[in-house]
Amino acid sequence: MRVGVEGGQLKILSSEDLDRLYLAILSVLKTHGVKIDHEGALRLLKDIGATVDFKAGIACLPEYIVEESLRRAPKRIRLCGRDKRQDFLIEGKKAYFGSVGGATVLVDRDTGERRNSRTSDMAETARICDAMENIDYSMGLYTPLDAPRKVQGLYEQDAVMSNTVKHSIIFAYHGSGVTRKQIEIAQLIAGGEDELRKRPIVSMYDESTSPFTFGENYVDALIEWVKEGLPLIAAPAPICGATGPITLAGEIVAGMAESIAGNVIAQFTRPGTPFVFGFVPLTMNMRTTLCQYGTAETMMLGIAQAQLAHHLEMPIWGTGGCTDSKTLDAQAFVEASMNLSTAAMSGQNLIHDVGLTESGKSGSQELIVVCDEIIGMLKRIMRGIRVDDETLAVEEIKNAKHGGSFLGLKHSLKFFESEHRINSIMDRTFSYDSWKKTGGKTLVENVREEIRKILKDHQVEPIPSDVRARIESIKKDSMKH
Amino acid sequence: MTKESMYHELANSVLSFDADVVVQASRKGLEMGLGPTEIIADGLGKGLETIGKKFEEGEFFLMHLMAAADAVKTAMSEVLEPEMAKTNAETKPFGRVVIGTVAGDIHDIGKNIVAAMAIAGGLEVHDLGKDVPVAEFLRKAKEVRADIVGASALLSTTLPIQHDIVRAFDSEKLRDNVKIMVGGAPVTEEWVREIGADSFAENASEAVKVAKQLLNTKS
Repeated sequence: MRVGVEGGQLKILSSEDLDRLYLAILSVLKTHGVKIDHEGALRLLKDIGATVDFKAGIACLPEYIVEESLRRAPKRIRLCGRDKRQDFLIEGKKAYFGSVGGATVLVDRDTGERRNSRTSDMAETARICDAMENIDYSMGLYTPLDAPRKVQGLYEQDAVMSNTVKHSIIFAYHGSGVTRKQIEIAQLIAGGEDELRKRPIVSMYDESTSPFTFGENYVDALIEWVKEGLPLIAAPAPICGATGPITLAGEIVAGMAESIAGNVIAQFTRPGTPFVFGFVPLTMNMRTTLCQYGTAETMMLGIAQAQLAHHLEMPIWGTGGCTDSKTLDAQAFVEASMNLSTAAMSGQNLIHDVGLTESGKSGSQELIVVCDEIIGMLKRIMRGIRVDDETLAVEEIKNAKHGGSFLGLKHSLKFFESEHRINSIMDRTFSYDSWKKTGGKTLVENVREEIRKILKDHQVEPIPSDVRARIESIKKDSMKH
Repeated sequence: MTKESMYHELANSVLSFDADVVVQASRKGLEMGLGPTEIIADGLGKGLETIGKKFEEGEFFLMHLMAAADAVKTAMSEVLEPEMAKTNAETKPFGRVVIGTVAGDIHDIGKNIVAAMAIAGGLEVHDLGKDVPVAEFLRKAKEVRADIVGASALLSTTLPIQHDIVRAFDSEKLRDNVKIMVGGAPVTEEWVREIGADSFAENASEAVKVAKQLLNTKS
């Protein structure tokens, strides 16, 4: 089992604030409702007591339905890997980390050229995620733009799941029957329907369109996926000020309410669906219209929704390790460090977006590797300081005498490794001269070498060849429709 | 009140960012005997220009621009357009734009911002909304004799619809008269070249500038 680091140290809202936010959410769902372009979902909601305007496609959700949906959602979710040792348990304030999908551009490691992303980039990324000590689940970071449009979702899934033994998260790709095929592929890899349900080795990320619009494709994918009892992350991404209110409190109300409405459909389609709540916290730059990932406010929105989720005992999606910077410069690492720290320390459960650059447009494998190091440091910080007779070291302080040394003490030998994290990629050479002598490389240059090494040496247990063949034939068949 | 001071009041009404104020000023202008075209060109238009300039200079922000465009749009539809219909007056816009988010895509915030900025920039904008079929772009462009068609897409799966739109205008041999602009987060210059669109811009104010350049090369 992978062990999550315990968050929740960081808080910015009082419990009174949290109550008021929740009441506002209930009020919005009841009186404003959600626009749903899906006849079946509207009928389902009507049947359970929602007020539905079929002509306008709007469903208003009374409190008792919302609260029943929250009651039905599991408070703990076990996400599994192809390898059992990679399983992990989302609960309470435990934080886990991973990448994302959807970027369309990258800087080619070998040529330095900026180019469109391909399926092979996603396979590589999944392998890098698989190799990273502190990355808990794998995603492909990019979009398979070289794959046939209709079946991009299947190429993504194959590239990611075949190159990791960790849990995978894939995107809902819209269009006729793609989700069904994604389920088929997942079942093949897991070894059957029941096996997949028992050990969900893959989750789906399905994003509604803020404000409060559930498109037909979103609902189709959601229903198809949860019918199988598989874990779903249904996160909207309202942009504060544009597709969400300009106030942070209003943005939290809108984002959370939209997410909770998704859970209502999920829990009344299949009670007990493992559902990860939350929204991607974004703000709009009112000068350039850029949709921002790295501002102070995005981090505050993340902290606040984590607190609200803990208050309501719901598993929560998180965001960190991403940047608005166009290149791997100081801004990229400042933003990624800050949003990872605030995400982890506020106890966001399933933190995503590690490696996302340029506000979601491009992605960087190098950033994933640097973030792995940042997460390692965060885990150390959050593990905290052990305080007991042994670690207080009163005897050792006395024994070392005034002006003495602690270097040779047994106490130092005994506690060094448990007290001090050994880093691998940060430069800690002794002096400028010794740094120069060992090549004088920057962090990014070192990381690039590290990636080459991973891609050369890191082995992932392959998918059995008969399963592989069937996946290929599903991909091929799907092209025909 | 002189004509000049009325123009001034109209321009200032836009800077209130309040539709009621702009509507009232427009009514007052009509009562004074000004024509709707004058009210737009010498009054409200000047106010929008000022806001555009202050936005460029960083004094105003996006929401100022959107609010001003919204207020002017309200005055147009409630007061000025009905008046034009009565008198058969026709405005000669700098250019006519048909804009929409492509079929299969319901992400329209970017398109809405571009539409508002285009209005603020003095263009006549026909907004088709979201999830717009290719045929609808074509139909509307013909109906209003559009100079520019703008197609927006956010998803990598809907991006190719922009290509379909270009093909549709190609096959109807409309490309001499209608310039096609594409936009949306995943759009790159390379993509524009690949599908043979006329242009793209990476943000809304750039889009209006590019649109105006295209219009200048056209006429």
